[in-house]
Formats: sequence, structure tokens, C-alpha cells
Amino acid sequence: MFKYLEVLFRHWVRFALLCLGLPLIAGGAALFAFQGKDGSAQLWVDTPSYIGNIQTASGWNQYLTPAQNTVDSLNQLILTDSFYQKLGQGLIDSGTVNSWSQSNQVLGEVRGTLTATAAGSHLVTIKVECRMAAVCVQVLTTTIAVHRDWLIQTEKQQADVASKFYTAQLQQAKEHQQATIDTFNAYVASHPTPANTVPAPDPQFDRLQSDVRQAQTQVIDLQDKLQAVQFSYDAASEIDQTALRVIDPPATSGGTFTSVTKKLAIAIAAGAALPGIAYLVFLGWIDRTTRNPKEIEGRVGVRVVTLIRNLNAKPT
Amino acid sequence: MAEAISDQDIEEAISAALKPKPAPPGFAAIGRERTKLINMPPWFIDRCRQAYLSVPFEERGEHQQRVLGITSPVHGEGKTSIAIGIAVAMAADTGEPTLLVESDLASSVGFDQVLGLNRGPGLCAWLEGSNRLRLIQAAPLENAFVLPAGDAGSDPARLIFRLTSSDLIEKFKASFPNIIIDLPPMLNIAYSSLASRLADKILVIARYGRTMTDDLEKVMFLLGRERVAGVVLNDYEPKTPGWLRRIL
Repeated sequence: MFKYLEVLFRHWVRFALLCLGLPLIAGGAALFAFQGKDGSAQLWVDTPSYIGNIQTASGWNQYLTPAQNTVDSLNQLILTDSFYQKLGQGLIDSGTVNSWSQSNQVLGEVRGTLTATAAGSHLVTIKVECRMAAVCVQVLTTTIAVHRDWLIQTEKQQADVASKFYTAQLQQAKEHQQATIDTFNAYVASHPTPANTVPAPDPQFDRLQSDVRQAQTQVIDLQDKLQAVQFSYDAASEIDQTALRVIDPPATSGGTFTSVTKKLAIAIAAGAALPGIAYLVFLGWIDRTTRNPKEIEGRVGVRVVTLIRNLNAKPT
Repeated sequence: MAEAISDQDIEEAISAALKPKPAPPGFAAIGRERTKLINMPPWFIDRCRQAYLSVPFEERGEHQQRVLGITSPVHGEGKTSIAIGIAVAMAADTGEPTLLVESDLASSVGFDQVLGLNRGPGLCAWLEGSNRLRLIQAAPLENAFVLPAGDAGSDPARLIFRLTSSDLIEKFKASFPNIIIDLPPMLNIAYSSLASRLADKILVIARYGRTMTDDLEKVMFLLGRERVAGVVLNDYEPKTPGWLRRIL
């Protein structure tokens, strides 16, 4: 250790140039050569409260703001591989990249930089860092589109399941209603009331009549619910257009030192420092001269009795 | 030529160095040969002092006899400068006669050059029997003396063999409690192991950022760890900040 430190301090100018100067130059050059673009888009997220019973989008937490709910779902979505597959496909389809290998390279760059944050109760900001402006815009556009598709798909699936459920219940309710009507009609037929007479109170008649009314109410109620679900299914795309509006379309601000650029510059600077470190190790390794009294004592087995400075050195 | 080495010659040289005869009345005193003024910074001498004080010398009677060899793996690691610094520190601290012997016969930077001596005969010439022993006072200290190697000629190994065979160092021990021997470097001089026998304890000099650790290990193997009193890390100029070194 002492030996390497001694080599370092002995040739400090050389090592300052090699281990600091060269990495600084290389890192600085990398920063300017690989300047990135910051892309961003802003979305306005609203709760479609005017549409009857659909108060919140599926999966939303009622205690969070619309922006927070959207950020939560977006940030989970961008963790999935299927999202990046769709993003890659979107980049190829739009002609931003020409091949899957280029697409994968771009995806590798943007994977850690694509983020969504809530800028307010309803405002969501999506940001990404890329090497090219077109890539940034396309990534943001595709991200918004994929998220919207995902929302619509989820809404439709939920509505579809609800529709099937209510259809089955309605069928059952209709059958029950028909049965109560048939029972009622049979009773009326078997207990005719003579004309111009006041019917005597009949509890059985009243009960059957009440059953028929209840069955009819249930059928109407289920028909209303089914209708609402079907409307929700049909209007899912419109609901999401309303709930998720692009306020500021994807755009880039160029020429900035993005985190990708900084990481790249740090990697290049570290790489540039390696020759200096290797040179230091080499010089230390080849130096077999006596420098450290402790090392001498250890190697030779004889005590170093005194250390004498250079006779011509100035007294300190 | 070996017979030319005589005890009387040694004693005369020591006597001339330690007890110079006063000039007769009416005659001008002939000055003793001196080195140029040794002008080392106090912090350097202090570090050299720290080095020699860490050496566990053996007690001989009431006095401590210090015969310390200074060597290094190869030339150019500051061995001679540190040997001089230790000799100066020892002479100043103990006040006892101190002798600095140059036994590195192949050094390109000998005592002649470092201490500003006139090129002349030295230890080699005495070993060859061609000249008397030449002890030079190390200025400004009165009790520090230098024995330069002189010209080794073409066969320094033979001279070192002759030196180790002689009892010159033993004779010096009687008059000089402190003897510092600037030994040849261990790895690039063939006779260095032989020369290292002259000293009881040895300090090994390593130069910061220049001496190879492997070389230092080889030196320890050649000398034997029990004879090596320690390693002096010379030219220590670490660039790592002190606070960071302390943490590590």
C-alpha cells in the first residue's frame, strides 16, 4: 500500500493528468457528445361523475385524487414487459426506429427514465429522457395510447362481466315473474267473483297479487342495471376520452444533460481513468527498491536504525 | 613484501598521530597533515550519531571497544559520507581517539576526494611495504584520524587478504577505542566478504528508492544477520504526506 501511495505522490503530476485530467476531458466530451432530450406530456384526469352510477374508474382508490390514481396505475403499467413490447411495436409502426434491435436499444435507454408524477389533484406529468426528440415524442404518445387502451379494455371487461351477470339474473327474474303471474291467473280463474257484488276480503288473492308486483319490480330493476352496464360498455372509450385528456401534447426540450447522458459520461470517465490506475499498479509492481522501513525490516529481518535525508537537502 | 609490515612502523604512525613531537626551540613547527575541514550539517551528524548509538558494542574491560564496519550492497549509496559522519559523531561524543579506515579500494570517490587529501600513499602502499603508515588528522577534530586507502594498483584482493591476515586493526584497537571501517560494497566487489571480517559489527547502508530489497537480502546472507547491527536508510525523501504514513 505504502509503495503504491509513494509512487502516486512521486509522480502526482503524471497521475493527476492520467487519472483526473483524462477522465474529466473524456467525461466532459461525452456529456456534450451524448446530449439527450427531455420529453414531457401533461394529462388532465377527471372523474366522470356526470355519468350516473359510474363514479370512479375501475381499480381507483377513492381516497386518492384522480391524478394520484392515474400515476399509480401508470407507474405500475410501465413496469410490465408487455407495456414495453407494445411500446417497441409502436416505435416500429410509427417509423421512429427501423428494426427490433434498434427498438430494444431505445427501450433499454428509456426504461429507467420514463416516469409519471402527479403535478396536482388532476394534472399528471409524464417524462422521459431520450437521445432523439422523435423517440421521446413517440415514446410519450405510445405510453398515453397504451394506457388509454388499457383503461378502455379494463372498463369493457368489467362491463362485460357485469352484463353477463345481470343478464343471467334478469332471465331468472323473468321466469319467476311469469310463474307468479301464472299462479295469480290460476287463482283468479278458480275463484270467480259474481258481477255487481263487492268482493269479500281474500288474503290469498292479496298475497299472490303482491308476489306478482314484487317480481315485476325485480325485473324492472335488473333491466335498468343491465341497461346501465351496457351503456357503460358502449361508452367506455368516450368515458376514457373524457377522463383522460392530453393538455400538453408530447414535446421535447433539447440539449440537456439527461441522466442517461450523465451515466454515460461517468462510465466513460471511469473507463478513461483505468489506464492511469493500471499505470500506477504497474509502476508499483515493478518498483522493488527500498522505500518503506517497515517493509525492509519485514523482508530483511534487520532493524532500520535510522533514516537519513539527502545530505544536500535543505534543512526543514 | 609482507615482511615490510612491522609493529614498529605501526606504533610510530600511531605515536606520530596521537603524540606529535613539539618543534625544537628556534625551529618552526612542521604542521601535521590534516584533512580539509569536515563541514557536515548538524542534523546529518545527529542522524549518524543515532545510527552508531543503536549498535550493541561489546564491553572490553572498563572501556567499550567500538569497531564498526560500514558497507552497502553497491557503490553510490552514501556509505563513505555516513562513515565520516559516524566517525565525527563518535569522536565528538566520546572524546576518545577515533580512526576512520578506508578499505574500499575500488571506490571512484575515495577519501582523497571527499576529504580533500593530497593524493599520496596510504594503506595500500603500507601493505605493499613501499611506504610508512599515513594517519591524517580529520579537521577540525583533534582526536579523529583518517587512514586513506591510497592507490590499490591492479590487485586489490591481494591487499585486502594481506590486511585481514595482519594484526593492524588489533594494533589500532590498543590506541583507538573507536574504529570505523569504510568497507567495500558487498555485491559488486569480490573481496568484500573478506574485508567485512575486519569489523565486529556492521551497518548496512541502503539508498531510498535505489537499493533493491533483493540486494539487501543478499547482503544479509553474505554477512550473516548476527553481525549486522542495522540498516541505515539513506537519502530518505518520501513523497507520501507524513500524516498518511502515520495512518498506514
